[in-house]
Amino acid sequence: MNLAIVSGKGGTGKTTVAVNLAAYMSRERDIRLLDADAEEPNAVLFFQADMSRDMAVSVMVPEILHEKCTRCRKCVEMCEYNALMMTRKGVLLSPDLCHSCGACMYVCPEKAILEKFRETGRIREYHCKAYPRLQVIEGDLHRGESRVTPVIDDVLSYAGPCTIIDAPPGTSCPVVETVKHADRVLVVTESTPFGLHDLKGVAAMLRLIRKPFQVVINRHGQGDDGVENWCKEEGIPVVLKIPFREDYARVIAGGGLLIEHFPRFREDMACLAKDLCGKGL
Amino acid sequence: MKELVVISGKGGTGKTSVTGALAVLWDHAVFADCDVDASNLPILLNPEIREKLPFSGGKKAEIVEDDCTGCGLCESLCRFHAISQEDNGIYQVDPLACEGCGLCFRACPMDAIQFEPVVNGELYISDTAWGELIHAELYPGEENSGKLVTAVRQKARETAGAKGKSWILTDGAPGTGCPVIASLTGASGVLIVTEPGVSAIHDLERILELTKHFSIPAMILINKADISPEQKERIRDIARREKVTVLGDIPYHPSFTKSQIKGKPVTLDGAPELYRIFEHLKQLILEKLA
Repeated sequence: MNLAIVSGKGGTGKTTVAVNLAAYMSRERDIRLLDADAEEPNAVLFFQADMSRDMAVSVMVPEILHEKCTRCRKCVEMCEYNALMMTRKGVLLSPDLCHSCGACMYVCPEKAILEKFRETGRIREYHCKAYPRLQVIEGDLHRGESRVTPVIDDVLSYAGPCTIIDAPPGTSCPVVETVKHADRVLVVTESTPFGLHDLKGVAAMLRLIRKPFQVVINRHGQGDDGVENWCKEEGIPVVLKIPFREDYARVIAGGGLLIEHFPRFREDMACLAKDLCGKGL
Repeated sequence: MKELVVISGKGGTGKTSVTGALAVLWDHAVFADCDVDASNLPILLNPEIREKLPFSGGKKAEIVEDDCTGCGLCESLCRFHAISQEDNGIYQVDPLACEGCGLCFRACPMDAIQFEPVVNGELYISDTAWGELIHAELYPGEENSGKLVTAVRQKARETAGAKGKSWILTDGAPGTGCPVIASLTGASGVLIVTEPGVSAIHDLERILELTKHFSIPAMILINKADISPEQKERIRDIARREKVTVLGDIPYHPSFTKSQIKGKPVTLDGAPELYRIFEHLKQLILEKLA
């Protein structure tokens, strides 16, 4: 199984569902939890975890061989991202604008462009003391870097037989990348006007790539019925409603797992796991 | 002209609720919503759209079926795995995977590839009861380059200039990557809305690295401050270490959600104690950025 947990906006409880479900399910099977929210990976904060591996994520960027360059400007004109500039000292690269497409190298008539690796993030693997069958793998984009997709791609390559993915928030390119390979998608939303607006955005994106999905309503009872009514109208199954409780909020704030404190929530995760596994996972 | 950008690193800390609450109290301002993925400020400010502008973040490749001979060169060159062969032997581009580099267009021996700007979002100029609002919507699945964010802020500056407004109040993008960098470069100051929880604090530390990197004066506001006293203390420790002022606390209050359901900022018809807190907050920010 490859389950992606997404949400239209941050802060709806995506990570809460991901870490608790992963921890719960790992009691009976090996689970990999992939934290693909590489701008702000937070899943590992909820575990007593030891890092077992720490690897670089690198992208290819052009290296200009100035002795071969004839300053014909073809590479500068070819680059759609304005990553190359002609200066008095020759062609200059702004590495953070580069998309590693290779077009500059292709058009250079002098073979004056090679490629070199440039580190833009890290992949870290953790083992959790209390959950020996759970592996957490996170992507972490270096600060000031703008392209998150290569880091996400790297994280996703660690998918195993039983994988839960904590996706980046939103509806844009990185999220599409994350859900593309998932066979099940859960959307976590709040039952508020903001939550409904963002749920509609995610739903549009998932329909565009033809991914069926189910909804988890978090902080249920705090807002209104907008989300539930809309799901009913659209025929989208709501598989779980997590009530709004201050004692839940406190445990989450402290970095604790709800399944360790609240039997009722453990029951919720059991139902969710059963629902997921009952459908051929 | 000054610009205050409200950011958080992590979503859900109340960035938009805070921006909306301040918007009601802020005089001579234009408002901007840079969360182009999930634009929620309009839900609070009820804008009337005056102008819609198409937004193009770049070009995309498209293969003209009749001209394609199926040689496969484009597929082998594309580093984004955006090109695949159909059953009929013809190649086609997945527009969601195409990053618009133009290499296939340049390389195709048959000139069978078109490479044109695509519209992947809309930018809106709207009127609200408190001033103009510039907001945008990125079409689902499109590349969230900071370009649309930059376009929103650019339009906000133009509008403020044209109307003689002295302030821009911006609801920043979430995260710590490209969209948020685009939302804060060149701002007069940023207000970081955080909350006392391990995730939000982790993101606060990351966002402070960014504000330091770009040398933008930062201030911290602790929302839902009563959720965890020990985590709140951690925020204050970080603020001391980083020499960033904590402007104050906002208690967890159901009035925020109640106002949101009514589609109104909390300072318009929420709890009076919240009104006082935001009025005080506004004064502190004005002093800081004077």
